[in-house]
Amino acid sequence: MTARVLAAKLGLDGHDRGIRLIARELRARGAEVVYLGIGTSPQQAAAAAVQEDVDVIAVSLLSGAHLAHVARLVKELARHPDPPPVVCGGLIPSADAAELQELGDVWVMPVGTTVPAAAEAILDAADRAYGER
Amino acid sequence: MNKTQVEMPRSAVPVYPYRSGITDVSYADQPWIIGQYSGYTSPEETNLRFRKLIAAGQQGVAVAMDLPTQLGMDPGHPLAEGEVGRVGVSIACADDMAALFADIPLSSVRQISTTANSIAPMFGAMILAVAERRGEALDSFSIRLQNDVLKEYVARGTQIFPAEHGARLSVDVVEYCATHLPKWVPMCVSGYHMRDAGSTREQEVGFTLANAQEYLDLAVARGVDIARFARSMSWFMGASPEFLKEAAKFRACRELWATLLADRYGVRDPEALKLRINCYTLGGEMSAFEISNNSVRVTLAAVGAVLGGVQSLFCSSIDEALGLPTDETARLSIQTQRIILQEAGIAEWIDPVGGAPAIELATDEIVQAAREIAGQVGEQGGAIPAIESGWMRGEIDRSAWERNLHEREHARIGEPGPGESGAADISVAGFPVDTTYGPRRAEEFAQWRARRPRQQVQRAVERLAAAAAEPGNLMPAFIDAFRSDLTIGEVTDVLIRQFGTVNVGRQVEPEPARVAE
Repeated sequence: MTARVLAAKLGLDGHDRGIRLIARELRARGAEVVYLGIGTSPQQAAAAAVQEDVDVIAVSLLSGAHLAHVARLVKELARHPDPPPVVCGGLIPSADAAELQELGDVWVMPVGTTVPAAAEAILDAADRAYGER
Repeated sequence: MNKTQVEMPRSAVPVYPYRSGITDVSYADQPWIIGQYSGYTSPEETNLRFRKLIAAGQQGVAVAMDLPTQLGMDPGHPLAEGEVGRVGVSIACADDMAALFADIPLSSVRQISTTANSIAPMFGAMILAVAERRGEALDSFSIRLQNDVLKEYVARGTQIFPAEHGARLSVDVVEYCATHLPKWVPMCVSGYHMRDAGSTREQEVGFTLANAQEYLDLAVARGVDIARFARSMSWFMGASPEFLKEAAKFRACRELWATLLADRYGVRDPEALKLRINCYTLGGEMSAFEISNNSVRVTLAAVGAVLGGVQSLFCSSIDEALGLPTDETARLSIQTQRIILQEAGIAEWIDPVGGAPAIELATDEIVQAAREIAGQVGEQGGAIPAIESGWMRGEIDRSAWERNLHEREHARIGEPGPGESGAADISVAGFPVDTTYGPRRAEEFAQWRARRPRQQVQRAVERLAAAAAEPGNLMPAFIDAFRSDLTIGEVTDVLIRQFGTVNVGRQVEPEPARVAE
């Protein structure tokens, strides 16, 4: 299968070197990636994920606002049947990672994850979601 | 015993094109400015911090603003959720600015600096409105604005308006300062963020040169005295642990600036030709693994900046890859600089590595490569078309990708090697901030907004909208807006209705209905 990935920077943080590298790695591995860019609202990400029928959403947050934005994203997604899993990367302290994972089908990649490892984690999440459907 | 004494000059006459430096004395006699960038939550809390720093003898303060402020959003904007007061202070109206500088005469601070870019004219206008209210002379203080919006579009990410309009606003500030506020430093052209976004060293310099040229061209077209503008302009560049190459880079930057001004604009004023460089060690070079190793990386980078003759230096904190610095790591980054200044024995000489064949060759190569890259930007039609077409960002992305491929095979010390896996320990660091502040601030700000006389606000919005529809300098209209208690979100929304926006998540209410006379 060709995994369909929605990638976005949620909130106002403009540091997108990491997510752009991961998007490139995913494309190199044959995935289809829709990158929404910086300054995406959780509502827009959720709407785009549904519209594009993606297998997984990859979001990156480095400004420390991850709890508010990811919670909003998961809440928006929950309004739809079969919401895709959300994989988060960025500066997410371990205590917050636990809190995020409790929100639903949310996966957190720790700081220091390499680009290939991040791509694999995203594709694994897409595979699982695909298998469940 | 026969001791060979090598005499190195502690003083020298700076010579065009200033490859070796711009000062006539060494750091031992005139140290570089040791800087530190930090953010605090509320205007009141930041004010307390400023007062402490000033009482302790600090001559300048840096205002780090939160992302909503930098993007022209009021607290309470849906996209600002979780971001208010997070990476800096929230400043959304003249009253906030007044609270930030309460009991601090603006003239008592040698320099107030800020990373305002898209909102640089608004920040400047807001502080002018406050000074006016307090009866302080507008020429009695100095603000240093980053105000380099072009690099935001390709790297730093706080762009609001289409690039052409963003650049127009940046140049509005430059023009206004040239006429009314000669003590202000209205622009600091920045390569740092492009480098941290993944550019090569040569692209960092070449794109900075191209962006600087774009601003200069725009200012010249408005009749701004170019030598006067150039005297107040500086560059903000990064430093990696490759300290000899970085030292060569700073030497190359000075030569490129001096020759650009002399050859393209016919500038002869030596003070304008001498480039002042602010340097920050590159945050992207900090590892999330074994973070004490970063202290060595910062030291190497800082040594490169000192050997290269920069005018001010900021050092990363060793936990920069993990979140905001702690008191301890912030102190270490200051102490690192003090040790280099006082204990490393490299501050006595001007351009201590100049003349070494490797350094001169590296300097030549960077000068040439940067000119070629700036030439490529010229072939794209200049910096603004090169940004709008996505070309400049694509070039940086390509370099970031190549660097990443290299790092997969060559892990940094302390990091997992090829095929190994590992996760950094970030249990301690992060963002130890008060999460109740944002919602509280949004609520209080909404109440403040609601208390303003409605007609006064609406008329001010109309005046600003009328000014934005005209080609003239918008600074007076911004001052009028903040004098009339408009908020940064209201001012930005007026401009977005006129210019449009490049922010995907930004929704702007249609123009409010007119108030009947």
